Order: sequence, then C-alpha cells, then structure tokens
Amino acid sequence: MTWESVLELIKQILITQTGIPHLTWGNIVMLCIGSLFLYLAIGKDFEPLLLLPIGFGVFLVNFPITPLMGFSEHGTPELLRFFYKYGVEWEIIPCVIFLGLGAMTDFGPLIANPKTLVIGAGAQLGVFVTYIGTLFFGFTLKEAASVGIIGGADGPTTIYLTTKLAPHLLGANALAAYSYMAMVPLIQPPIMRLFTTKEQRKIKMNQLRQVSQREKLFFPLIAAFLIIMLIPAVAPLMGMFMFGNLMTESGVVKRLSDTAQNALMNIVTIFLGVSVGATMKAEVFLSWKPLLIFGFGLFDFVICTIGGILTVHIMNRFLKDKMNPLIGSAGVSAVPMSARVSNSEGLKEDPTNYLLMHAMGPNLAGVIGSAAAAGMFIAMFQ
Amino acid sequence: MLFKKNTYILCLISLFIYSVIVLVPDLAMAAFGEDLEKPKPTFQKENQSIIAKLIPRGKSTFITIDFTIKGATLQEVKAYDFDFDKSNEVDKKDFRSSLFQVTITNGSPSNISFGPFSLPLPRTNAPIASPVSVSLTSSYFSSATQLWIYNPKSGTPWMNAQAQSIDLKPKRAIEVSVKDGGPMDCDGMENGQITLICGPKDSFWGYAIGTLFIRFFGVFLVLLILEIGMLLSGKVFQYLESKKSEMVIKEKEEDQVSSSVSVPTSTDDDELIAAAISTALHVHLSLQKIKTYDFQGVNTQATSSWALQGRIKQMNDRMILFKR
Repeated sequence: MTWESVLELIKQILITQTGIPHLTWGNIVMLCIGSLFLYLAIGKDFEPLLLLPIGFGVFLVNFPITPLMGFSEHGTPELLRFFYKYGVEWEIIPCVIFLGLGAMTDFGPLIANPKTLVIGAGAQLGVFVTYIGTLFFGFTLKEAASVGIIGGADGPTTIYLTTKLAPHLLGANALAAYSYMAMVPLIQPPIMRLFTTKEQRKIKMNQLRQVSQREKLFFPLIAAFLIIMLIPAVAPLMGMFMFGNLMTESGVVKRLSDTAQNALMNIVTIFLGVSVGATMKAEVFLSWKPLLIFGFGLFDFVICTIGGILTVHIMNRFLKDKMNPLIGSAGVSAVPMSARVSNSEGLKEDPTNYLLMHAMGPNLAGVIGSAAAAGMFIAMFQ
Repeated sequence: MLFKKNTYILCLISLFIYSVIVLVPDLAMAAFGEDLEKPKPTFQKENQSIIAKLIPRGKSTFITIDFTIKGATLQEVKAYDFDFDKSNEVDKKDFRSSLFQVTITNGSPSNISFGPFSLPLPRTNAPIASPVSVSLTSSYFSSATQLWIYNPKSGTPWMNAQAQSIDLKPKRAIEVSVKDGGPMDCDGMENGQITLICGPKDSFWGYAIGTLFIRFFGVFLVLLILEIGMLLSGKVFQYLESKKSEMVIKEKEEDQVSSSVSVPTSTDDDELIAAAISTALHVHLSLQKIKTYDFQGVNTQATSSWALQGRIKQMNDRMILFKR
C-alpha cells in the first residue's frame, strides 16, 4: 500500500464517515440554540423537566449524518425517530401525560365552585384571536389552529394538536408553549395589574365549601360523560385525564395511581422532550416561522390572560358574591403556576387575602377549556 | 431587581419579534412559499360520472366530488394546476378543493372494438347542439359554495358561473349550463368539445371568522353545560351528604340511648363489683369523717389507689345514667 492510497483512504474516511465536512452554519446555530435551552434549564431552572430533554434533543439531532431521526436501509426508524414515531406521531405520549396529570389533580376547588369553569372558557380568547392573527400572516388553517393553542398554556394539548394538524411546527410550538409557561410569573402580573383596580384586587372571596370524597369520585365520570358527548374529538385527552383522576380518587388502586403520577410520567417526559427536541433540525427550524410562532405565542398568552380577567369582571356584574378578578388570569391553565401568581398578586395588595385555592378552580377549568378548544379545532378539520 | 431585569429582557424580546413582524412582513411571508395544503385529487370513473377524491385545504379527511354531465359525454376530469401566487384576482385559499379541467365531447366514438383489438377513429367535430349541464356533487359543499370558471382566453379570465345550488341531502350539487364555444369553454370554438376549467369557491375569511365565533362560543357552551352538570350533581351530593350526616347523628344518638339502656343488662359480676366498691368506699369515707386525720400514726386523708379506681368505676357507671 502506497502513501497516496493511505492518504486517499484517510480522506475518504474523513469525508464519508465523520461529521466535520458536513457541518453547516445551520447546524452550528442549532447547536447553540440547544445549548441555550440546556443553560436555561440547568442554570435558570426554567421548566427543567422539559427544557433539558428538549435542549439535549436539539443538541443531539443537529450533528451531521447522525443515525437518529431517519430510517435505516431496512426501513426501520432510527432511535429518536422511533421515539417520535411511536410516542408523538401516534399521539400516545400526550395522552399518557394527561393520565398522569389527571392522577395528580385534585378537582376539589373546581367542584366546590363550578362557576369558575366559565373563566376557563373566557381565557381561551387568545387561542381564537391568535388563530385569526396567524391566518393574516399566511399560515394555513391547520397551522393557525396549532399556533393558537399555545395560549392555552397546556404543553401536552399543544403537542397533541400540533402533531395532528401541523407536525412540521411541533418543535417551535412545543418550545413556545413550555417557554411561556415557565415565564408566567413574568408575563401575567403586569397585565393583571393593568386590568384590575386596587379595590378589585382586595376582594376577599367566600370560603369554599367542603367537597365530599363521593363527589370527587363521581366528578371524573360526570365530566368525561358531558365533555366527550359534546366534543368526541377530545376523548383521547379527556378520557385519559379523567381516568387518571378516577384512579386517585377511588383510592383502591393506589399503586397504579402512584405509577401514573411518578414513574410513568417521568418516563414519557423523557421520551417526549427528546422527541420534540429531535424535530428541530436546522433545515426545518431555521426559518421565519418559529420566530413568528414565538411572537404569536406571547401575544396569545397575553390575550388569554386578559380574557380570563375580563370574564371575571363580566361575571361580577351578575354575581352577588364578587370574585377577585386576579383569579381570572389562572384560567390560562399552566397548573399550578398561574394560580400561584394570582395568589401572590392578591397577597401584595392584602397580606391576609389568600387566593390560591380560589384560583385553582379557574386553573383546572383552563385545562379542560384548552382541551375543549383543541377538540373544537380537531373537529373543525375532520 | 431580578424581576425587573427579567421583565426588561422579556420586553426587548417582544419588541424585537413584533418589529420583525411589523417592519418586514414580506420577509415573514416569504417563509410560507411552500403550499403544504395543495389538494392532490385522484380520479375514478364510475358509470357515467367521474369521482374526484381529495383532501381539501383546511381538512384532514378525504372528500369526494362527483362530476356528471347531461346532454353530452364526460370525457375526462383532471386537476388543473394554476399558479395562484401570480394572480391578484383570486386567492388559492378560497379554492379549497382544487381546480379541475373537465373535458366534454359530443359523444362520437373515438375508437371501434373488435374483441381484444380496437381501432381508433377520428372524432367528429360536430358542435354540441344544446347547452350541456355540468353537475358537481359533494357533501363538502354548502349553500354558499359557488362555481368559478377560469378561461385564460377571455378578457376577464375568472368568472362566477352563477351555478345553481341543489340540496340533495346529505349532499349538495352545484349545476351549471355550458355551451360549446361559449364564454366558459376554454377552447372558444364550436368543435364538438367543451373544455371547462372550474373550481368550487368558498369565502375563506367568511369560513375562518365564522368558525372562530362558533367554536369560541362552543367552548363556552361546553363548559357551561359542564358547570350546570356540576351544580346539579353538587346539589344532589350535598343533599346525600346532609342525609348521611343526619343519619350518622341519629345513629350516634341511638347508640347512646341503646348503651344507656344496656346498663341494666350488665352482668351480675359488674354489679357486684360496683356494689362492693361503693360499700368499701362508703365505709372508708365514713371512717375518715369519724376519725381524726391521724389515726394511730397513719394519715387517713390520703386515698389509696384501690379506693380511687373504685370511685372512677362507680362514677363511670353512673355517668351513663346521667347522660340518659
């Protein structure tokens, strides 16, 4: 073997078997974006449970010629493609997350004050306003619906709807949804103060009635029956959500409920995060669309917050026992962060005014409301 | 301080995003060049009609459009590729189910068959005498669906065919009359063939805004129904709970009554013990009253443990009677 042939062989290996010659500017930018997400998750503690796996997914998938998101020569999916295909594309992971969320949720505050369900509906205003706004910017109807749902501040719902309607926007939509959910304490307070007076923020609400265990046990059955009868398209999400809740409230399957809340939830979160991150390859992600989605997502969040607060104002016109409008902002879902924000804003005005449990009602109504809005969109395209 | 800094960063990000959106909308729009939703119809001949199967814009499921002709022969239907981006007259979003090129002939045989063999015959150019009725039927059409014709040779290439909308529950048909060589015929000649480029048109914005209101209020309606359901079930459960708690109180009272009644049923041994203790106590206390505090060097004021236990037992036994 001559020196020339050895050099030729090394050159051949470098070109065909290493990533260096295939590295593009797009890859480098995406590696930086992935690293930024990792920094936000680890350094700033911004939704670390999601941003860390997403960030690493972005980081991993943007190395050139990696066998991660493609298909092998036999047509079998590669590792991350496998997670994506069977977890996200088959719409399994968002539903399993809803199962875990249902198992974690105590519907007591919502059952004690069902009026707050209307706030959850009012807080979907941004979803529909953004839907129209994005259409003006050339998004298709399906894309507009998937971007609009970001304002619902419900990660699994956003992922579920986007996978169904506009899978090419999955990375941007999921990221925008989770990023803004993490930024709820930054986004909401100025809007809350802008749309309420000092006196309104001081309103003390009546103590919630005690909810019996029997009532909590029947709630998932009644809610599932009504919602699924009215919007069958939302059955996968609502069905799993209520099933998880029933497991917990029944008290007879503690092991299953515990698994749904902890082990199962953690497992699917890992696969969901990595899969969503893996969809953000440079050639797909680096366009104006994600930037617009981030812009519209913020706008969406703001309008949803305003919608919730305005709904409380309107309701207060008809109610004898007034509600504190600060709980309206909790209608955007983002459980329990937005309820905490309502509570902290209330405490700023009156240190004896605890709104947390009152805000949990609209907060849970927001979860149901955003799932209902997603169901409406799915039904629209059927 | 940290909060203020974060708010400042957030404001900067929003300002940047919105300046991009507002100042460079053309750039932003350029990102949407690829037509992801372009319908790709497939065609199938069935008896006298041709059925187009496609996923229209803004839908996830297939629809069918049934093309039928009266007064001539339906030769062919195929998708017509029109570059909407270059046209200012029409918006592709309004044509959600594609454009079609329909070829209608006078029905003269184009070939003659001898068993497995066929001999092509020249088609006659005899004009199609009377106007031909073209009908498009689909469950996808609404009463507002129009049929628009594209004729590149005409001065106004796009025209509303003023088609008649017929309700054929559950489907709807849009029907139009075309004439060989007429304004809707693309070849513009009376040559025994009509070429019609057409597409069902719905108002995109009308649909988008209409559905927006319906669906937003739909969410309200669903949650309102859930609220009513919860209020009603809440009342039922509260009633049941109050009944249950009433029952519990009643049961407790009955228990107390029954336990007080059960005193006489206590065993003879208990009664004996109680009697013995009370006698012993009586004797003991009587002695204390009679005798001085110091009796033969022993302090009789102090109560012994057996006396205390006996007193407690006696009091408890009597307590039941007091409660009664």
